[in-house]
Amino acid sequence: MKITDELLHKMAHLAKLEIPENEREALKKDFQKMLNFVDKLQEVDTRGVEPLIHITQEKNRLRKDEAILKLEREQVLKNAPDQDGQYFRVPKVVKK
Amino acid sequence: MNFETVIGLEVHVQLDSRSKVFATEDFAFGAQANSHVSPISMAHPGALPSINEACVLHAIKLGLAMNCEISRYTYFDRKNYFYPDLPKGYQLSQDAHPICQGGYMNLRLKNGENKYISLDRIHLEEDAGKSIHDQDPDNTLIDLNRAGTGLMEIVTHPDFRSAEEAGLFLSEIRKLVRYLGISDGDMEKGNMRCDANISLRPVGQEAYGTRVEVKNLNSIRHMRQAIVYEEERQALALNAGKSIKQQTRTFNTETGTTAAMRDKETADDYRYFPEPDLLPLWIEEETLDEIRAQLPELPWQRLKRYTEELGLGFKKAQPLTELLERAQYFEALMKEGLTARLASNWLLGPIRTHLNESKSEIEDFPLSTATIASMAMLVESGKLPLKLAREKLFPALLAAPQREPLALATELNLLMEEKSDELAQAMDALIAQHPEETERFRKGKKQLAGFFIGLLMKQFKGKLDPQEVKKIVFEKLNG
Repeated sequence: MKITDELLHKMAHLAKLEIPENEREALKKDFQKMLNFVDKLQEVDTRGVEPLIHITQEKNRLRKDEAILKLEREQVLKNAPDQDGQYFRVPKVVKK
Repeated sequence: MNFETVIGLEVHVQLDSRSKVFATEDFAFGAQANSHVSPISMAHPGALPSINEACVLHAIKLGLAMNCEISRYTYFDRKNYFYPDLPKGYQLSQDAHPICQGGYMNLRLKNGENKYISLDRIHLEEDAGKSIHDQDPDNTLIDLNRAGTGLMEIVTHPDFRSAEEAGLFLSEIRKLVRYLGISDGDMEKGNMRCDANISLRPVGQEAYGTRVEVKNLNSIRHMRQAIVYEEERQALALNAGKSIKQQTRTFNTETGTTAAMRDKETADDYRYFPEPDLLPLWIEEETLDEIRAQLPELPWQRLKRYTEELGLGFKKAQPLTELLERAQYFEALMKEGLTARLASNWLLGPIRTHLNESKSEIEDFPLSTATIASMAMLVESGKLPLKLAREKLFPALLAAPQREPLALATELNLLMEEKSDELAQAMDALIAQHPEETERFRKGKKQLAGFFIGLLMKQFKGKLDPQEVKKIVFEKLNG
């Protein structure tokens, strides 16, 4: 797979990042290196091998349905960059 | 050109549990903003999720009730997207191995026909927080109370052909989750929400047309309106030779119309991958057997029992089973000794009228099943005329729910008295007053008996046994 400007733009858009013009070529190179590494791995024949999704043999760790942990609202909002005492404030998401 | 509507639904049902699905705090509808939040739902660094056992059991219950195959192996995935009410930047959901696969539900349409709706899947996921766009002119406000609460998403195949079918499905789901005790399915509170995928195709064509997705429909009525609006909009465009854009649309509850939110030419890129912070679930056969054994009688099973075993018609069985609490009240009346017919007559008659008028539910109804049953028995034994029971005793009992029906009826002088002597005398007097009618009766105009019965009933204010009155009238007239 080849990293193009278009693909880089799409990745940046999905991650809500703005990438300055002068960083693009370097990023493209890095991305390409990563993909090449994965391409290399994909040369291994894995037919008939179950994908390894979880790396431990543990399973079924279920929590009893009890309400135990909750913060006071003051604590909840304390570290927010912007808040009004009740809500977190973020830039307007919907255009007026 | 004539078109056929094709609809598929995604229904989100909020799970009823004490704590959230992957976080340990509780959640209350209508609570103060950001008062039910933990570091887990705020996505603080290092905070780890854990799986709520009750939510898993709830989803399995729903899956079994809807004839799904329950996955023996299931796990959670991250669905990545960016939005301020989703602090983690991803939603914990299920992609490749949902907990329930396939499944179906049969709907009974208004015309009596059955409609088979097949499911794609039911999966477990968490809800996002709430964004409020219209309270602050310069900012969007975020309330994270709802973030992390458990949802089941039921995804159907595009099997619906009309707004009626889709609406019926939603009301059946609501009924089912209430019967199962896994959610209150209350759309007004947002505990059940629905997205509808709607497309048209020329009648007879097999290939589906381009579909639009109408998001966040929060009542059955709105969903039906949105479908009807889309049917008209798309037919108009297609007939004008235009093509339908694949879009996500919103429904405007004030105008009853839909509007484009975003174009969707390419599939959404959520970059799903397995959630490494949660272990997979292996669901054992014994667990399934246990849950199966605990399943309550389901709405359609109860409906079948009412029609087949209790001999009630569909028109009565349907409203009786519509609400679990109503069905339970009905069965309690039968335990008190009433027949199915009597119990349903009282429940769907005076009791339902009272509940509608007072805008209340059967759970709030003040009269015990014992009280209703003993009033009904008074009528059956012939001691109390039905009309007086409904119009006098029932309202009197509502005003004094603790009173005993027989005592109250006696006090209100509603009971029929042994009146054959008085009746006989009164009838003698009537014959004397109406020689002409008597004569005509005796010459064969037997309908005139009704004239005398009416006069007697009026004179005794209805508190008479109609059979006894009839007997005396005929005896006296026949001389």
